[in-house]
Amino acid sequence: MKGGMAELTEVDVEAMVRDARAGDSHALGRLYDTYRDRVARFATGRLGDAEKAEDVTSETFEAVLRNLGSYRAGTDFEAWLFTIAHRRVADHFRRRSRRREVVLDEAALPGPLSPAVGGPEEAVLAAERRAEVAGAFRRLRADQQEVLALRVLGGLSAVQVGEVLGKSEGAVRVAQHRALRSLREALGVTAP
Amino acid sequence: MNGDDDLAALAGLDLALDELAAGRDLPAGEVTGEAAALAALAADLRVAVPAPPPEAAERGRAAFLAAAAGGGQPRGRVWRRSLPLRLAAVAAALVVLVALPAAARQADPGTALWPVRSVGQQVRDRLAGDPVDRATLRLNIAEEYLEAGAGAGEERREEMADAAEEKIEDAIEALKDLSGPQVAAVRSRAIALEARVELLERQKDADDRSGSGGETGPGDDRSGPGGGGDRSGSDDETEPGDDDRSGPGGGDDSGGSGSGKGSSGSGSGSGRSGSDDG
Repeated sequence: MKGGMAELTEVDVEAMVRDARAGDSHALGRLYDTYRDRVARFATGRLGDAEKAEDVTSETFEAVLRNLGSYRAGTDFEAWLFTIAHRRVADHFRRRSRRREVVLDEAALPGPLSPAVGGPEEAVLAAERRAEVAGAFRRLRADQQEVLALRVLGGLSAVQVGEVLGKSEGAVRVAQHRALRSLREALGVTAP
Repeated sequence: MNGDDDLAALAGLDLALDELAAGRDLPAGEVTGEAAALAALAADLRVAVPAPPPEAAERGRAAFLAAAAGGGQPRGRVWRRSLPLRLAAVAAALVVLVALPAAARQADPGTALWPVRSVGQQVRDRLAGDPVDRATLRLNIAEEYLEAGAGAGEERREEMADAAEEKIEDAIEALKDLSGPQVAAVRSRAIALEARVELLERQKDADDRSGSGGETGPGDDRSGPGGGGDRSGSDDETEPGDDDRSGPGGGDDSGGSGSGKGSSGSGSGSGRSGSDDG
Protein backbone atom coordinates (compact mmCIF):
# COMPACT_ATOMS: atom_id res chain seq x y z
CA MET A 1 0.00 0.00 0.00
CA LYS A 2 1.60 3.23 -1.09
CA GLY A 3 -0.79 5.60 0.56
CA GLY A 4 -2.07 6.11 4.01
CA MET A 5 -4.27 3.07 4.50
CA ALA A 6 -1.99 0.86 6.47
CA GLU A 7 -4.67 -1.73 7.14
CA LEU A 8 -5.18 -2.61 3.48
CA THR A 9 -2.56 -4.06 1.23
CA GLU A 10 -2.57 -3.44 -2.49
CA VAL A 11 -3.85 -6.97 -2.93
CA ASP A 12 -6.75 -6.19 -0.58
CA VAL A 13 -7.59 -3.08 -2.52
CA GLU A 14 -7.43 -4.89 -5.85
CA ALA A 15 -9.74 -7.60 -4.55
CA MET A 16 -12.14 -5.05 -3.12
CA VAL A 17 -12.24 -3.09 -6.35
CA ARG A 18 -12.68 -6.25 -8.41
CA ASP A 19 -15.63 -7.33 -6.25
CA ALA A 20 -17.08 -3.83 -6.35
CA ARG A 21 -16.89 -3.85 -10.12
CA ALA A 22 -18.77 -7.11 -10.10
CA GLY A 23 -21.54 -5.34 -8.20
CA ASP A 24 -20.84 -6.82 -4.77
CA SER A 25 -22.58 -4.39 -2.45
CA HIS A 26 -20.46 -5.43 0.48
CA ALA A 27 -17.31 -4.58 -1.46
CA LEU A 28 -18.84 -1.31 -2.58
CA GLY A 29 -19.65 -0.44 1.02
CA ARG A 30 -16.13 -1.27 2.05
CA LEU A 31 -14.70 0.80 -0.73
CA TYR A 32 -16.79 3.74 0.37
CA ASP A 33 -15.89 3.28 4.03
CA THR A 34 -12.22 2.97 3.21
CA TYR A 35 -11.89 6.13 1.18
CA ARG A 36 -14.77 8.36 2.02
CA ASP A 37 -13.16 10.29 4.87
CA ARG A 38 -9.96 10.83 2.97
CA VAL A 39 -11.76 12.16 -0.06
CA ALA A 40 -13.98 14.33 2.11
CA ARG A 41 -11.04 15.74 4.01
CA PHE A 42 -9.21 16.47 0.79
CA ALA A 43 -12.30 18.21 -0.59
CA THR A 44 -12.80 20.18 2.61
CA GLY A 45 -9.23 21.37 2.44
CA ARG A 46 -9.56 22.43 -1.16
CA LEU A 47 -12.98 24.00 -0.94
CA GLY A 48 -12.90 25.35 2.57
CA ASP A 49 -16.51 24.48 3.15
CA ALA A 50 -17.77 21.28 4.72
CA GLU A 51 -21.10 21.24 2.89
CA LYS A 52 -19.59 21.79 -0.51
CA ALA A 53 -16.96 19.22 0.32
CA GLU A 54 -19.74 16.77 1.07
CA ASP A 55 -21.28 17.46 -2.30
CA VAL A 56 -17.98 16.99 -4.08
CA THR A 57 -17.38 13.78 -2.14
CA SER A 58 -20.77 12.44 -3.23
CA GLU A 59 -20.06 13.47 -6.81
CA THR A 60 -16.70 11.73 -6.65
CA PHE A 61 -18.22 8.45 -5.52
CA GLU A 62 -20.98 8.75 -8.10
CA ALA A 63 -18.26 9.11 -10.72
CA VAL A 64 -16.44 6.12 -9.25
CA LEU A 65 -19.61 4.08 -9.67
CA ARG A 66 -20.02 5.18 -13.24
CA ASN A 67 -16.39 4.66 -14.16
CA LEU A 68 -15.39 1.66 -12.14
CA GLY A 69 -15.62 -0.39 -15.30
CA SER A 70 -12.92 1.68 -16.92
CA TYR A 71 -10.50 1.37 -14.02
CA ARG A 72 -7.55 -0.74 -15.16
CA ALA A 73 -6.67 -3.46 -12.70
CA GLY A 74 -3.08 -3.29 -11.57
CA THR A 75 -2.90 0.48 -11.66
CA ASP A 76 -3.01 2.53 -8.50
CA PHE A 77 -6.63 2.70 -7.39
CA GLU A 78 -6.08 5.48 -4.88
CA ALA A 79 -4.40 7.67 -7.46
CA TRP A 80 -7.30 6.91 -9.82
CA LEU A 81 -9.86 7.79 -7.16
CA PHE A 82 -8.17 11.02 -6.17
CA THR A 83 -7.76 12.02 -9.78
CA ILE A 84 -11.55 11.90 -9.98
CA ALA A 85 -11.86 13.87 -6.74
CA HIS A 86 -9.30 16.38 -7.99
CA ARG A 87 -11.33 16.88 -11.18
CA ARG A 88 -14.57 17.24 -9.28
CA VAL A 89 -12.98 19.94 -7.15
CA ALA A 90 -11.72 21.66 -10.29
CA ASP A 91 -15.24 21.46 -11.76
CA HIS A 92 -16.59 22.96 -8.59
CA PHE A 93 -14.16 25.86 -8.81
CA ARG A 94 -15.14 26.42 -12.42
CA ARG A 95 -18.81 26.49 -11.52
CA ARG A 96 -18.14 28.89 -8.71
CA SER A 97 -15.59 31.03 -10.46
CA ARG A 98 -18.09 33.76 -11.20
CA ARG A 99 -19.46 33.73 -7.75
CA ARG A 100 -17.78 34.74 -4.57
CA GLU A 101 -14.39 33.51 -3.43
CA VAL A 102 -14.62 30.52 -1.14
CA VAL A 103 -13.03 31.31 2.16
CA LEU A 104 -11.80 28.66 4.49
CA ASP A 105 -12.10 29.71 8.06
CA GLU A 106 -13.15 28.21 11.30
CA ALA A 107 -16.80 29.02 10.63
CA ALA A 108 -16.74 27.04 7.42
CA LEU A 109 -15.29 23.95 8.98
CA PRO A 110 -17.37 21.29 10.66
CA GLY A 111 -17.28 21.25 14.39
CA PRO A 112 -16.40 20.15 16.86
CA LEU A 113 -13.13 19.50 15.11
CA SER A 114 -11.89 17.02 17.66
CA PRO A 115 -12.83 15.98 21.17
CA ALA A 116 -11.75 18.59 23.59
CA VAL A 117 -8.94 17.42 25.80
CA GLY A 118 -8.48 19.17 29.09
CA GLY A 119 -10.46 22.12 30.28
CA PRO A 120 -12.34 24.82 28.46
CA GLU A 121 -9.26 26.97 28.21
CA GLU A 122 -7.37 24.26 26.36
CA ALA A 123 -10.34 23.74 24.10
CA VAL A 124 -10.43 27.42 23.22
CA LEU A 125 -6.71 27.50 22.55
CA ALA A 126 -6.94 24.39 20.41
CA ALA A 127 -9.80 25.86 18.43
CA GLU A 128 -7.84 29.06 17.92
CA ARG A 129 -4.87 27.10 16.69
CA ARG A 130 -7.01 25.15 14.26
CA ALA A 131 -8.54 28.32 12.92
CA GLU A 132 -5.13 29.90 12.61
CA VAL A 133 -3.71 26.93 10.70
CA ALA A 134 -6.78 26.69 8.48
CA GLY A 135 -6.57 30.41 7.71
CA ALA A 136 -2.87 30.20 6.92
CA PHE A 137 -3.49 27.20 4.68
CA ARG A 138 -6.09 29.21 2.81
CA ARG A 139 -3.58 31.93 2.14
CA LEU A 140 -1.22 29.56 0.37
CA ARG A 141 -1.04 29.52 -3.40
CA ALA A 142 -3.55 27.21 -5.02
CA ASP A 143 -0.90 24.76 -6.22
CA GLN A 144 0.55 24.56 -2.72
CA GLN A 145 -2.88 23.97 -1.23
CA GLU A 146 -3.41 21.28 -3.83
CA VAL A 147 -0.26 19.38 -2.96
CA LEU A 148 -0.89 19.54 0.77
CA ALA A 149 -4.56 18.64 0.39
CA LEU A 150 -3.65 15.50 -1.54
CA ARG A 151 -0.61 14.57 0.50
CA VAL A 152 -1.56 15.54 4.03
CA LEU A 153 -5.36 15.60 4.00
CA GLY A 154 -5.98 12.93 1.36
CA GLY A 155 -3.19 10.78 2.71
CA LEU A 156 -1.67 9.95 -0.67
CA SER A 157 1.99 9.11 -1.12
CA ALA A 158 4.29 11.44 -3.02
CA VAL A 159 4.16 9.03 -5.96
CA GLN A 160 0.36 9.04 -5.97
CA VAL A 161 0.20 12.83 -5.69
CA GLY A 162 2.52 12.91 -8.68
CA GLU A 163 0.16 10.66 -10.61
CA VAL A 164 -2.80 12.89 -9.84
CA LEU A 165 -1.01 16.11 -10.66
CA GLY A 166 1.17 14.81 -13.48
CA LYS A 167 4.44 15.44 -11.63
CA SER A 168 7.41 13.34 -10.68
CA GLU A 169 7.81 12.03 -7.16
CA GLY A 170 10.80 14.32 -6.69
CA ALA A 171 8.84 17.35 -7.79
CA VAL A 172 6.10 16.50 -5.31
CA ARG A 173 8.62 16.11 -2.49
CA VAL A 174 10.03 19.53 -3.24
CA ALA A 175 6.57 21.01 -3.60
CA GLN A 176 5.29 19.63 -0.30
CA HIS A 177 8.40 20.86 1.48
CA ARG A 178 7.99 24.35 0.06
CA ALA A 179 4.29 24.38 0.74
CA LEU A 180 4.80 23.49 4.39
CA ARG A 181 7.48 26.14 4.68
CA SER A 182 5.06 28.65 3.20
CA LEU A 183 2.44 27.51 5.67
CA ARG A 184 4.87 28.07 8.49
CA GLU A 185 5.64 31.54 7.21
CA ALA A 186 1.97 32.29 6.83
CA LEU A 187 1.59 31.41 10.49
CA GLY A 188 4.29 33.92 11.28
CA VAL A 189 6.78 31.30 12.48
CA THR A 190 10.33 31.92 11.42
CA ALA A 191 12.54 29.12 10.20
CA PRO A 192 14.95 27.67 12.79
CA MET B 1 16.93 22.75 -2.51
CA ASN B 2 20.63 21.97 -2.68
CA GLY B 3 23.01 19.56 -1.07
CA ASP B 4 22.73 16.32 0.84
CA ASP B 5 21.16 17.99 3.86
CA ASP B 6 18.34 19.33 1.76
CA LEU B 7 17.79 15.99 0.11
CA ALA B 8 17.81 14.38 3.52
CA ALA B 9 15.30 16.94 4.73
CA LEU B 10 13.05 16.22 1.77
CA ALA B 11 13.30 12.49 2.34
CA GLY B 12 12.76 12.90 6.08
CA LEU B 13 9.72 15.02 5.61
CA ASP B 14 8.35 12.60 3.04
CA LEU B 15 8.79 9.72 5.44
CA ALA B 16 7.14 11.68 8.20
CA LEU B 17 4.18 12.52 5.99
CA ASP B 18 3.79 8.85 5.07
CA GLU B 19 3.66 7.97 8.75
CA LEU B 20 1.22 10.76 9.40
CA ALA B 21 -1.05 9.55 6.59
CA ALA B 22 -0.90 6.05 8.02
CA GLY B 23 -1.91 7.36 11.41
CA ARG B 24 1.36 6.39 13.02
CA ASP B 25 3.68 8.42 15.20
CA LEU B 26 6.77 9.92 13.69
CA PRO B 27 9.67 7.51 13.97
CA ALA B 28 11.88 8.77 16.78
CA GLY B 29 15.25 9.99 15.63
CA GLU B 30 14.63 9.43 11.97
CA VAL B 31 13.10 12.81 11.32
CA THR B 32 14.71 15.78 12.96
CA GLY B 33 15.25 19.49 12.57
CA GLU B 34 13.18 21.37 10.04
CA ALA B 35 11.63 18.21 8.61
CA ALA B 36 10.27 17.33 12.04
CA ALA B 37 8.93 20.85 12.51
CA LEU B 38 7.23 20.79 9.13
CA ALA B 39 5.82 17.34 9.78
CA ALA B 40 4.37 18.63 13.03
CA LEU B 41 2.81 21.47 11.11
CA ALA B 42 1.31 18.97 8.67
CA ALA B 43 -0.17 17.15 11.63
CA ASP B 44 -1.70 20.43 12.80
CA LEU B 45 -3.15 20.89 9.35
CA ARG B 46 -4.81 17.48 9.50
CA VAL B 47 -6.38 18.47 12.80
CA ALA B 48 -7.48 21.83 11.44
CA VAL B 49 -9.23 20.22 8.48
CA PRO B 50 -10.97 17.18 9.89
CA ALA B 51 -13.15 14.63 8.17
CA PRO B 52 -16.84 15.53 8.04
CA PRO B 53 -19.07 14.22 10.83
CA PRO B 54 -20.13 10.55 10.86
CA GLU B 55 -23.78 11.30 10.13
CA ALA B 56 -22.79 12.91 6.84
CA ALA B 57 -20.78 9.82 6.01
CA GLU B 58 -23.78 7.61 6.78
CA ARG B 59 -26.03 9.63 4.51
CA GLY B 60 -23.48 9.54 1.75
CA ARG B 61 -22.96 5.81 2.16
CA ALA B 62 -26.67 5.08 1.94
CA ALA B 63 -26.97 7.20 -1.19
CA PHE B 64 -23.92 5.58 -2.72
CA LEU B 65 -25.18 2.06 -2.12
CA ALA B 66 -28.68 2.98 -3.31
CA ALA B 67 -27.20 4.35 -6.50
CA ALA B 68 -25.11 1.23 -6.94
CA ALA B 69 -28.12 -1.00 -6.38
CA GLY B 70 -30.43 1.00 -8.61
CA GLY B 71 -27.87 1.79 -11.23
CA GLY B 72 -29.46 5.18 -11.42
CA GLN B 73 -29.23 8.60 -9.90
CA PRO B 74 -28.22 8.49 -6.28
CA ARG B 75 -30.87 9.88 -3.99
CA GLY B 76 -28.28 11.36 -1.74
CA ARG B 77 -27.36 14.72 -0.51
CA VAL B 78 -26.11 16.04 -3.79
CA TRP B 79 -29.39 15.36 -5.50
CA ARG B 80 -31.44 16.81 -2.68
CA ARG B 81 -29.27 19.85 -2.31
CA SER B 82 -29.17 20.59 -5.98
CA LEU B 83 -32.83 19.87 -6.69
CA PRO B 84 -33.92 23.51 -6.41
CA LEU B 85 -31.06 24.46 -8.66
CA ARG B 86 -32.06 21.86 -11.19
CA LEU B 87 -35.68 22.96 -11.05
CA ALA B 88 -34.56 26.53 -11.55
CA ALA B 89 -32.48 25.42 -14.52
CA VAL B 90 -35.46 23.58 -16.02
CA ALA B 91 -37.66 26.61 -15.47
CA ALA B 92 -35.06 28.87 -17.05
CA ALA B 93 -34.76 26.51 -19.99
CA LEU B 94 -38.54 26.53 -20.43
CA VAL B 95 -38.56 30.30 -20.37
CA VAL B 96 -35.78 30.47 -22.93
CA LEU B 97 -37.09 27.75 -25.19
CA VAL B 98 -40.85 28.17 -24.92
CA ALA B 99 -42.12 31.26 -23.14
CA LEU B 100 -39.64 33.72 -24.57
CA PRO B 101 -40.13 32.77 -28.22
CA ALA B 102 -43.89 32.65 -27.67
CA ALA B 103 -43.87 36.14 -26.22
CA ALA B 104 -41.42 37.30 -28.86
CA ARG B 105 -43.78 36.16 -31.60
CA GLN B 106 -45.89 39.24 -30.80
CA ALA B 107 -42.93 41.56 -30.40
CA ASP B 108 -42.75 44.71 -32.46
CA PRO B 109 -39.54 46.07 -33.94
CA GLY B 110 -37.62 48.10 -31.44
CA THR B 111 -39.10 46.37 -28.41
CA ALA B 112 -37.08 44.35 -25.94
CA LEU B 113 -38.17 41.02 -27.37
CA TRP B 114 -37.63 42.00 -30.96
CA PRO B 115 -34.07 40.66 -31.04
CA VAL B 116 -35.42 37.26 -29.97
CA ARG B 117 -37.99 37.36 -32.70
CA SER B 118 -35.41 38.58 -35.14
CA VAL B 119 -33.23 35.57 -34.41
CA GLY B 120 -36.21 33.31 -35.07
CA GLN B 121 -36.84 35.08 -38.32
CA GLN B 122 -33.25 34.66 -39.39
CA VAL B 123 -33.44 30.97 -38.60
CA ARG B 124 -36.62 30.59 -40.61
CA ASP B 125 -35.06 32.62 -43.41
CA ARG B 126 -32.09 30.29 -43.57
CA LEU B 127 -34.26 27.23 -43.35
CA ALA B 128 -36.53 28.34 -46.13
CA GLY B 129 -35.67 26.11 -49.06
CA ASP B 130 -37.75 27.92 -51.65
CA PRO B 131 -36.63 31.41 -52.76
CA VAL B 132 -40.25 32.52 -53.07
CA ASP B 133 -40.90 31.49 -49.46
CA ARG B 134 -37.78 33.28 -48.43
CA ALA B 135 -38.77 36.44 -50.26
CA THR B 136 -42.27 36.27 -48.78
CA LEU B 137 -40.82 35.92 -45.32
CA ARG B 138 -38.63 38.97 -45.89
CA LEU B 139 -41.54 40.98 -47.15
CA ASN B 140 -43.56 39.99 -44.10
CA ILE B 141 -40.80 41.36 -41.94
CA ALA B 142 -40.62 44.51 -44.04
CA GLU B 143 -44.32 44.98 -43.54
CA GLU B 144 -43.91 44.71 -39.81
CA TYR B 145 -41.26 47.39 -39.90
CA LEU B 146 -43.61 49.62 -41.85
CA GLU B 147 -46.40 49.05 -39.38
CA ALA B 148 -44.07 49.79 -36.51
CA GLY B 149 -42.94 52.97 -38.19
CA ALA B 150 -46.41 54.27 -38.94
CA GLY B 151 -47.42 56.82 -36.36
CA ALA B 152 -44.02 56.85 -34.72
CA GLY B 153 -41.66 59.76 -34.22
CA GLU B 154 -39.34 60.84 -36.97
CA GLU B 155 -36.30 58.95 -35.85
CA ARG B 156 -38.13 55.70 -35.47
CA ARG B 157 -39.98 56.18 -38.74
CA GLU B 158 -36.71 56.70 -40.48
CA GLU B 159 -35.21 53.66 -38.81
CA MET B 160 -38.18 51.48 -39.64
CA ALA B 161 -38.32 52.72 -43.21
CA ASP B 162 -34.65 51.90 -43.69
CA ALA B 163 -35.08 48.47 -42.16
CA ALA B 164 -38.12 47.76 -44.31
CA GLU B 165 -36.35 48.93 -47.41
CA GLU B 166 -33.45 46.65 -46.66
CA LYS B 167 -35.77 43.67 -46.24
CA ILE B 168 -37.57 44.48 -49.47
CA GLU B 169 -34.27 44.64 -51.30
CA ASP B 170 -33.31 41.30 -49.79
CA ALA B 171 -36.62 39.86 -50.94
CA ILE B 172 -36.12 41.14 -54.45
CA GLU B 173 -32.61 39.75 -54.38
CA ALA B 174 -33.96 36.35 -53.43
CA LEU B 175 -36.16 36.41 -56.52
CA LYS B 176 -33.37 37.38 -58.88
CA ASP B 177 -33.39 35.41 -62.15
CA LEU B 178 -36.68 33.75 -61.25
CA SER B 179 -39.94 34.02 -63.11
CA GLY B 180 -43.45 32.67 -63.00
CA PRO B 181 -46.77 33.76 -61.59
CA GLN B 182 -45.80 33.25 -57.94
CA VAL B 183 -42.62 35.24 -58.38
CA ALA B 184 -44.52 38.00 -60.13
CA ALA B 185 -47.01 38.18 -57.28
CA VAL B 186 -44.28 38.49 -54.72
CA ARG B 187 -42.52 41.12 -56.82
CA SER B 188 -45.75 43.10 -57.01
CA ARG B 189 -46.06 42.95 -53.28
CA ALA B 190 -42.46 44.12 -52.96
CA ILE B 191 -43.21 47.11 -55.18
CA ALA B 192 -46.30 47.92 -53.16
CA LEU B 193 -44.31 47.80 -49.98
CA GLU B 194 -41.66 50.04 -51.50
CA ALA B 195 -44.38 52.52 -52.14
CA ARG B 196 -45.35 52.33 -48.50
CA VAL B 197 -41.75 52.94 -47.52
CA GLU B 198 -41.87 55.98 -49.74
CA LEU B 199 -45.02 57.19 -48.06
CA LEU B 200 -43.51 56.67 -44.64
CA GLU B 201 -40.55 58.81 -45.57
CA ARG B 202 -42.62 61.39 -47.39
CA GLN B 203 -44.66 61.75 -44.29
CA LYS B 204 -41.55 63.01 -42.66
CA ASP B 205 -40.72 65.16 -45.66
CA ALA B 206 -44.16 66.63 -45.53
CA ASP B 207 -43.65 67.54 -41.90
CA ASP B 208 -40.33 69.11 -42.67
CA ARG B 209 -41.64 71.16 -45.49
CA SER B 210 -44.98 71.63 -43.77
CA GLY B 211 -46.67 73.37 -46.63
CA SER B 212 -47.01 70.78 -49.28
CA GLY B 213 -50.57 69.76 -48.81
CA GLY B 214 -50.50 67.29 -51.61
CA GLU B 215 -48.15 65.01 -49.74
CA THR B 216 -49.74 64.86 -46.37
CA GLY B 217 -51.72 61.72 -46.81
CA PRO B 218 -50.19 59.73 -44.00
CA GLY B 219 -50.11 62.76 -41.79
CA ASP B 220 -53.75 63.33 -42.44
CA ASP B 221 -54.49 59.83 -41.35
CA ARG B 222 -53.14 60.41 -37.92
CA SER B 223 -53.53 64.08 -37.29
CA GLY B 224 -57.25 64.24 -37.10
CA PRO B 225 -59.27 67.25 -37.99
CA GLY B 226 -57.14 70.07 -39.14
CA GLY B 227 -53.89 68.28 -38.47
CA GLY B 228 -52.12 69.33 -41.62
CA GLY B 229 -53.17 72.92 -41.29
CA ASP B 230 -52.14 73.11 -37.68
CA ARG B 231 -48.69 71.95 -38.44
CA SER B 232 -48.19 74.14 -41.45
CA GLY B 233 -48.20 77.28 -39.43
CA SER B 234 -46.07 76.21 -36.54
CA ASP B 235 -43.45 73.71 -37.42
CA ASP B 236 -40.47 75.96 -37.84
CA GLU B 237 -40.18 77.26 -34.33
CA THR B 238 -42.73 75.89 -31.98
CA GLU B 239 -42.87 72.17 -32.56
CA PRO B 240 -42.60 71.06 -28.93
CA GLY B 241 -45.40 73.34 -27.80
CA ASP B 242 -47.29 72.54 -30.87
CA ASP B 243 -46.92 68.87 -30.15
CA ASP B 244 -48.37 69.27 -26.77
CA ARG B 245 -51.33 71.24 -27.90
CA SER B 246 -52.14 70.03 -31.33
CA GLY B 247 -54.36 67.15 -30.45
CA PRO B 248 -54.22 63.60 -31.47
CA GLY B 249 -51.38 62.52 -33.68
CA GLY B 250 -50.71 65.60 -35.70
CA GLY B 251 -48.47 67.30 -33.23
CA ASP B 252 -46.52 64.17 -32.70
CA ASP B 253 -45.43 64.12 -36.25
CA SER B 254 -44.49 67.73 -36.40
CA GLY B 255 -42.56 67.55 -33.17
CA GLY B 256 -40.48 64.68 -34.39
CA SER B 257 -39.66 66.21 -37.71
CA GLY B 258 -39.36 69.89 -37.39
CA SER B 259 -35.64 70.20 -36.95
CA GLY B 260 -34.55 69.20 -40.37
CA LYS B 261 -33.40 65.73 -39.40
CA GLY B 262 -35.01 64.46 -42.52
CA SER B 263 -31.92 64.91 -44.60
CA SER B 264 -31.08 61.24 -44.69
CA GLY B 265 -34.69 60.33 -45.16
CA SER B 266 -35.14 62.66 -48.03
CA GLY B 267 -32.02 61.26 -49.67
CA SER B 268 -33.29 57.76 -49.66
CA GLY B 269 -36.75 58.96 -50.53
CA SER B 270 -35.59 60.64 -53.65
CA GLY B 271 -33.89 57.49 -54.79
CA ARG B 272 -37.08 55.60 -54.53
CA SER B 273 -39.22 58.29 -55.99
CA GLY B 274 -37.05 58.07 -59.04
CA SER B 275 -37.84 54.44 -59.39
CA ASP B 276 -41.51 55.13 -58.75
CA ASP B 277 -41.52 57.66 -61.45
CA GLY B 278 -39.95 55.16 -63.67
